[in-house]
Order: sequence, then C-alpha cells, then structure tokens
Amino acid sequence: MSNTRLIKIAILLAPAVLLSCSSSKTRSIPQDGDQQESSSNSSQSNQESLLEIDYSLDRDRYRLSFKTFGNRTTIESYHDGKLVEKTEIDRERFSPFLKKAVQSMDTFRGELKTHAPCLNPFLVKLRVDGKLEQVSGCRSNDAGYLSKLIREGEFLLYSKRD
Amino acid sequence: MGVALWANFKPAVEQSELKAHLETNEKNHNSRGLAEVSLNSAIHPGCQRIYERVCKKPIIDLDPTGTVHSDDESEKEAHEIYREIVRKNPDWTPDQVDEAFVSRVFTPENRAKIHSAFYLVKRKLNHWIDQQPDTVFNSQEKSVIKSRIRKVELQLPPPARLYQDEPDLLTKSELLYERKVTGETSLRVGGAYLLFAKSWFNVVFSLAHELGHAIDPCEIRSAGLSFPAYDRLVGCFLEHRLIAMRKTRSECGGNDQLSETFADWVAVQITAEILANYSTRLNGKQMIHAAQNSVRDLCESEPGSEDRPDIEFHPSPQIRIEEIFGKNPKIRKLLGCETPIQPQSYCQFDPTLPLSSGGI
Ligand SMILES: [Zn+2]
Repeated sequence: MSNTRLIKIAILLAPAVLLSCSSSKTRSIPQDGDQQESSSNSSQSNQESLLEIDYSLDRDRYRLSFKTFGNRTTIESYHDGKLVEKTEIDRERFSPFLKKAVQSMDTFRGELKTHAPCLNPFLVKLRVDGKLEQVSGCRSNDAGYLSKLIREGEFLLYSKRD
Repeated sequence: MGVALWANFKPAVEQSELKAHLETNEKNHNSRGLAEVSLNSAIHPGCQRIYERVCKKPIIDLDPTGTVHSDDESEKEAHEIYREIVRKNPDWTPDQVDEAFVSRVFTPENRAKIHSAFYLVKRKLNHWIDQQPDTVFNSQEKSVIKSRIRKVELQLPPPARLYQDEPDLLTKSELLYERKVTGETSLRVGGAYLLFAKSWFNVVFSLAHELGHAIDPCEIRSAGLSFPAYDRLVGCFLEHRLIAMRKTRSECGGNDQLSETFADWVAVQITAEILANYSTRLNGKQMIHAAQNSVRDLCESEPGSEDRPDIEFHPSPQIRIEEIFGKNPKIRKLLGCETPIQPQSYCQFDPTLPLSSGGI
C-alpha cells in the first residue's frame, strides 16, 4: 500500500482534517441521485463523510450510500432513485469497509480502459468535509472490485436490522 | 450453437417446453376453464394505445405461464431471503451466505427454465439471421453475426463462486449481457430475477434483448466490423425517433440509445415468432396477456412514483412499448390489432422488402 493511500485513509478516519481533493474525470453514467444528493447537501454541515456508489445494471440504476455522523454511519440503498433499505451501524464496523472503498478507488483509477462502449458504468464518490473525490469505471473492466465492494456494503446492510 | 444445433431444432421442443410451463403454473389459472376466444373476437379498442394496454395491470393475468413482478418486488424478496440466511447464521462468511442463497434461489427448476429459454432464443436468432435475404447480409456477414450469438455463454450458479467477480448480482433482478476486456461474452442472471413464477414470454423477451446486445451496432462497431444493413436500420431508427435525438448524443457513446433500441427491436421480433408458435396452445385472451407480459416489466412505475429508470441509454418506456413493440405487425396481430401498418412504418433491415420477408 502506498504512503499516500495510507495517509488518505488516516485522514478519512479522522475526518476533522481536510482531505486533499483530486477529482478524476467522470464518464457518462446515469446520475440518478441528484435528489438524494441535494438532501445530503442540506445536512452537510453536520455530516462528516459521505461515500456513494452509483452503478447501472442494464436499465436499472442503483446507489449505495454511507453517511457518517459522529460514531454512527447510516447506510441507504436506492433502486432507480427510490429508497429500498436503510439502517445504521457503528462507525467501528464501517471503518474497515471505508478503508476498502478508498483502496478500491485507487484500483478503479488504474483500471484497464478500452475503446469499447461501457455497458454497465459506475461512479464512486467520497466527500469529507465538503471536499469531493470521485472515480468512474466500467463494471466489466475492473476484475470484480466494484461488485465485491457493493456486496460487502450490502452485507453491512443485511446483517444489521432491528 | 450453430447450424448443426439449429438442424436439431423441432417445433416439438417448444411444445414440450410450453407444456412444462403450463403444467407448472396450472395452479395459477385453470386455462381449460376459459372459453375459447378467437383473435378476431378479441380485437381490443385500445389498439392505438398499446402502452396503456400493456401497462395497465390486469385484475386476473390470463397468461398461463406466469406473471410479471416489478424489479423492486423481486429484489425485496431476494433481500429478505439473504437477510434470513445471515440472521440464522451470524458466523458465516459472505461466501457461505452466497452459497446458501444460491441453493435456495437457483433451483434446478429455475435453472432449467432459463436454460431452455436461452437456447430457444439462440436458435431463433440464428434462424432469423439465416433467413435474411442476401441483399441484407452476405454469407460472410451472416456467419460473423451467428458466431457472435453462439459465443455468448450462459452462466448460471451454482456454485455461487461462478459470480465471484460479481457477487452483488446474486440479489439483483437483472439479466446481464457482459463483455470482458478479453472479449469473452456471457449472459448472467440475477437471483432476484428467478423469484416468483415469471411469464415464460417475459423470460424469452428479456433473454432475446440481452442476446441482441451481442450483435448490436455498438458491439459490432467495437469489434471493428461494419455492415451496410445496420447503417440503413440505424437511419430508420433515427427517422422514426426510436433513438432520442440529443445535441449531446455521441453514437455508441454518451447519451445514445442505439444499442438498447436495437436490442429491443431484435427481442420484439424473436418474441413475436415464439408467441406465434404457441398460438395453437393459447386461446385468444391468453395470447393477448402473454404478449403483454413479454414487455410489461418495461412499463413506468405508478404515476407519481419516485422510480426513474435510465433514459440516457434506453428509449423511454413509451417508445419501447408503443413504438418498438406495439407497431410490430406480428405483435399487433397477436394482440388482435389488425390496424394496417405500412411497410415503411416499421423498421427492418431492408426497408424495400415487405414486412413478411426476412421473418423467422
Ligand atoms: Zn439492454
């Protein structure tokens, strides 16, 4: 793991410190979450970090969203803009996942690009203290990192519910 | 699957497939109790509003092979099954949970249904290409197209690790055509898609759509190929506004609906033919419901719903159902709509041919 990445993760886990921002260029992906994003903007002042994974599977659009406030992380899953599941977990349980997400974002940046059209694009966004970092990619080109990340995120959602 | 397998195909195969589905779903509707309704007597006043007809959910679905549930319903059910497994087995790893989920959902019966529909659609596609006149495709072009169809591999768990590079698909309601960077193509099925007794004709349409992607103009272009017949067809799609004209549209890139329009267009023709083959087994009303079910999952959600399906890459539900599906002459006939359609009003590979040419 590179020093830069370790520093970045350390910063994320201590969110009072500003994250250095390096937004990557995003390709065209259905951005279904404007509505939810505006709602998260409104509460941004209290929100310490936000991780969003937007992805398409053929005609369906999904979003997995993780919002951290203090010691709690709220997980929401959306399907075509509609909230499907919502739960809350301890920040302690969320931290290893967040670390993995940050590592995956680096992997996505290095993903093999092809000239062929992307059938199932995705976009991962990370915002800490208003600073946004995002990376886009194509599901078929990433050797499964995106899908595994989603599955782990969903596992947090499934394994905690009253 | 090539010419040899097509040669083995007999209509009896379809009859036995249908029989199995009819028997499986007989508990839903006792089709023998229904009065025979001829297509002529079932002509519907809404033949000019196919979208409304398809999307207005019937009180009783007379499609004897099953019905159509929304993706949301299917995924919620899949989530519940997954959650139940996690709760009963809190010490299990995600991989163990996936295996248990797969054995609950990818049952031999569900797998067999997808398997038989997949190979039926492949055979029909193959034959459809073969039947195109030489003015549309020469023999070399035909063999290239058929080879692309043949190479698409159906990947169905178990084991769950078959989707180890895509584990999130297990609880999704999608059928997914995929092309790896290596060029390999596959068709995968989300676990939620297998829940509920889904209409056989919806399965056929969905698989035909996905297999249509294997030969869609963008996939053909990305393989470095070019077919004049495709250029003519794309021109027709644009002329008929089956592809949204946007300033930001880049063909086969952002804001372009070409590949999805093409996949729908292929799927409609394959589904129409398969429906027609079953016309001796379904009475008029059953046939109408079966035809409507084939595309009912393309409908918009309830008015006022927050659901927003993709319209960047896909035509709107109205275009998909009213224009691409509802204006197909064979579909109209099956729906009891005899409204004459001018040859030039429905896109085909060779616009100079009558609509009955190049059929299946
Ligand atoms: Zn498609």
